[in-house]
Amino acid sequence: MSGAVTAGSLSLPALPLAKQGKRALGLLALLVVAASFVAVGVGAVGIAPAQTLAILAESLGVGGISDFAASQQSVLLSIRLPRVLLSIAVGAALAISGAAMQGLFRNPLADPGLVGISSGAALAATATIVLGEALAPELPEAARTLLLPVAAFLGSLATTFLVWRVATRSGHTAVATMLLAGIALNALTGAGTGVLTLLATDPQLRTLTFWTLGSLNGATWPALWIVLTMSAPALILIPRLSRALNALLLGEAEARHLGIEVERVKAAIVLLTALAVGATVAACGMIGFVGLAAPHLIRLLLGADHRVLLPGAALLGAALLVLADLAARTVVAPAEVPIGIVTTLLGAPFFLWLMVREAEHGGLFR
Amino acid sequence: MIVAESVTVRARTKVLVDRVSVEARCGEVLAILGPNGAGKSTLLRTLSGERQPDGGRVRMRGRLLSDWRLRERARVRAVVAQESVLAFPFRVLDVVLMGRTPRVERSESAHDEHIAWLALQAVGLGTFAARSYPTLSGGERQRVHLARALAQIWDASSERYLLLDEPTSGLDIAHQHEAMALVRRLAHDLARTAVAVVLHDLNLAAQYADRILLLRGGRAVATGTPSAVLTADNLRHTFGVEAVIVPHPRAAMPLVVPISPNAFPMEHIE
Repeated sequence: MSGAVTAGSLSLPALPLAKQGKRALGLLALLVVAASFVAVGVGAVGIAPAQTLAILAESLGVGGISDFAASQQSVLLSIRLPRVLLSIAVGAALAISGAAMQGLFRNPLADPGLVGISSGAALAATATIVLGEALAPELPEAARTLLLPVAAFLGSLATTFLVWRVATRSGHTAVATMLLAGIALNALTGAGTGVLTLLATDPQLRTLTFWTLGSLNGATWPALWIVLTMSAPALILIPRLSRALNALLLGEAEARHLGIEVERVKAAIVLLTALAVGATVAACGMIGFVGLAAPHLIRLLLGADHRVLLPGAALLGAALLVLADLAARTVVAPAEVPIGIVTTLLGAPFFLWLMVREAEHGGLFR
Repeated sequence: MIVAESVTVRARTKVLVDRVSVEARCGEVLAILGPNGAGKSTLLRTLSGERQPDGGRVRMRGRLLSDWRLRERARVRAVVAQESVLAFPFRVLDVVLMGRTPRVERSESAHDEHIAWLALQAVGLGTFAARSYPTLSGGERQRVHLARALAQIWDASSERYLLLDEPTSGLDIAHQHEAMALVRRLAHDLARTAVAVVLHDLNLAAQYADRILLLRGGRAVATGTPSAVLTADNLRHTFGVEAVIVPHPRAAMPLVVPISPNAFPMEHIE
C-alpha cells in the first residue's frame, strides 16, 4: 500500500501527547508522594517531612539525617505509615477497578459503589462477622482475618456477575438497566445488612457501622499486606489490557476484528476488579465515588486512552484517598469522620454535576 | 481470496442468507448490492467471521475462517462496520492507531505511528490527527474508521482483505468518490488486496466495482461484471424499480437511470 499512496515529503506532525501523558503520570506520582508526606506528618503528634525521611532511613539502617523523638517513630511506623499506605492501595485499587469497569461497560457511570458491587462485598463481609461467630465460634483469629477478605471477594464477584448478566443483552450493556440493577442490589444488600443488625451483638453493631460508612481506622500492617496481595493482580494486569479496553470502546465485534479475545478480557476484568474491590471492602468498608471521580477527572485532563487512563486513575485515586483520609481524621479531631462519608460528600455532588453535564451533551444514556 | 461456499445464515426460523456462494478475490473490488433486508450485511459479517454460517463454509486463503486465531486473522483482514459506538474523547490519530492493535506487542512503535499517520493522510484527514474524535461529523468519523482499517492491514505480508459495510453512507459526493477510488486503488495497484463492500448506490458500484453480487431475500440473483449484473431486468426483479441503463458518457461502464417509480400509487395515500 505504501506504493499506492505517495508519502512524499511527509513528516510526522508535532503530537507530543504521548510524552505529555508520561509527564502527567510523573506529576501524579509526585502528587501521591507529596500527599503522603503531608498525611503522615499531620495529627496529634506532628512529624516534619525531614523527620519522616530520617525515621524511614533509620529503619533501613541509615541514621543521622535529622533528629526525632521515639514517640514520633512509633506513631509513624505503627499508625500513620500503614494507614497512608493502605489509603494508597485502596484508592488505587478502587480507581483502576472503576476505570476498567467503565471501559468494559463502555460507560463512564460504571462504578463499583454505584452498581452495588461494594455493597455486595460489604454484605458478605458483615454476614461473615455476625453469622461466623454463631456458626463457627472456634475459628482461630488468623483464619478469621483471611475469611473476611475471601467472603468480601465472593460477595463482589457475585454482584458483578449479577449486574453484568442483568444489564447486558447480546453484547450491548443497557446503562439505565445497569444503574437500576445497582439501585436494586444496593437496596437488597442494605436490607440484608438490616437483618444482620437485628441479629448482631453490640460490638458487632459497631463493626457493621464501620462497613457501611467506611474507615481506614483499622489500618495495620497485616491488613495492608492482604489488600496489597489482593489488589496487586488488578494493578499489574489491568494496565496490560489497556489496548483491549481501547478496542472494546469501538464495540465488541470491532474489538474481535482487531484480534482481541473479548470474552477472555471480560472475564479477566470481572475477576480482577472483584478481587480488588473485595479486598478494599474487607479492609476498610465501603468507600464510594473514588472509582467514579478519579477516572473521570483523568479523562477530562488527559483523554480516554486507557494506556494513560488506567495508571493515571490509579495514581489520582491514591492521592485523593490519602487526602480524603487526612481530612477525615483531622477535621473534627480527636474524633474521626468515616472516610466513606467524606468521599460521598465530595463525590455525590460531583456525580450530579457529571449527570447534568452529560445530559446536556446527550452522551450517556444511549 | 475469501471464498464463501453455499453459505446459509438463519435467525431463528428466518433465513437471512440462503446458499450464497461468492469469492472476494485479491486485486478486485466486489460490491454487494440489494434492497433493504436482502442479507448484505449478514453476508459481510459471515465473510468477516463475526457470524458463523449455519450452513456452508467460508475460507480465507484456503483455510476455514474458524480455524484462524483472532489475532492472526486481524493482521490480514480489516473490517469497517456501518457505525461505531465510540463515544469517548480519543484523539483521531489514536483511533487510527487502534488499527495497529493486532501487531503491537508491548507498545506502539514509531513505525506504527507513521503508518497510522499515512493512513490518515490517505483518507484526506491529515490535518485532523490531533482533533478529538467526538467532535467530528458523521462522514469524518467514517473516514477515520476507514483509515483505521487501512492502518490495520497496511503492511500485511501477502494477501489481505478489506470488508466494508456501507462506507460511503454518510459521505458527500466528493468524499464518496474519493473513498471508493482509494479502495479501488488499494485493490488494483498492488493486486494483493481483496475488497468486499456493501453499497446502496448502484452507480457508485458500477463505477468502482470489478464484480457485483446482487442479493434479494438472502439469495444471489446475479454475480458478474457491472455491465452484466446491472441490467433493467435484474433491477426490476431485485429492487422492483424501472430503470434505463445507459452507457457512462466518459467511461466504459453502465449508468443506472431510474424511472419515477409507481410502487406507491397515490390513491393509497389518504
